[in-house]
Amino acid sequence: MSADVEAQVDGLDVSVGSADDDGPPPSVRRIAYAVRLRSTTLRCTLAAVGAWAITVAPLVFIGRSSGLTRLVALISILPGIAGPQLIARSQKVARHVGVTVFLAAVLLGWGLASNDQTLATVDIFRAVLGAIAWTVFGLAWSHPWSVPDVDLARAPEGETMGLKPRRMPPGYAVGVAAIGAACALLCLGLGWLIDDSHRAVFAQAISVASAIALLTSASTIAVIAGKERSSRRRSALPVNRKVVTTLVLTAVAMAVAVALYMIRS
Amino acid sequence: MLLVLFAVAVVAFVLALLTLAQGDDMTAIVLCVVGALSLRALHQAAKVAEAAR
Repeated sequence: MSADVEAQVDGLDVSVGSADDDGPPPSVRRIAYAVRLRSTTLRCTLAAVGAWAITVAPLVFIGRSSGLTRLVALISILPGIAGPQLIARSQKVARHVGVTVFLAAVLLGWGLASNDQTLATVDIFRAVLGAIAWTVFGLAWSHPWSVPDVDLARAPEGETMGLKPRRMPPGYAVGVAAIGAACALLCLGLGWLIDDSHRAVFAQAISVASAIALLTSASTIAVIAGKERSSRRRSALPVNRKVVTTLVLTAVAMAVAVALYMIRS
Repeated sequence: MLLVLFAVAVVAFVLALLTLAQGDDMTAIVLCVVGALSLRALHQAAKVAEAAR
């Protein structure tokens, strides 16, 4: 009775702990493992089908879409369904099929639909619903929720939880990171102000790039704020020749921006 | 100083998107350059600050 209990689930040898442990009997553990595994598969499958149904399926039925667009939109659901079914066999393959291939197929479908001028007919309600559906898809696949609890319990600590922090960040660092995230969201929101379809993509590119840059910079400031300060030097502005050069260039660019604004107005 | 540079970048990017919404593409691009340069200065200053700790 001291040997580990081996559960056969979908052809996998799964050790679910020692039979000497307090807790439910092996048969119950085996059933619980299978249920958890299938719930993970079901969650990822439903999330993929939901996101596809809201944002890609309409391309199949819109009359303006070309035959190729319809075909790509239709078959793009296949990796979305097949990927989660592979979770039990191989996490890595499942993620490649269920996330990478699925997203590539969906993006290809959207790209073709964009050529057909089909995406211009998407209304705001469907767009918001689609954004929520893709968020749910991301959460469904995010680690560790897409990994069964039993596998999480068996995995080495560093594999699932990451490194333990050596010290807690100060409140100031958390505040800076939060402000950075808020500013990034503001930029993403402002990108939607541009109605002109010719410049909307440009605006989205700028808003996404600026959001990423602000988030990265805020996290840099937060990390520096979270580090212990050396007692020997507290000081002066963190400036060297490179920083001064960049600051001068920034000032020049600011002057050009002001001049342009004055000329246009 | 890092926070000041960050604030400059935020203002520059927000103004860039607002001017883009008003149809002034050239000013928007220059404002984006301002934002990008201030963030570059921020990262350079951050390296200096980190080395000083």
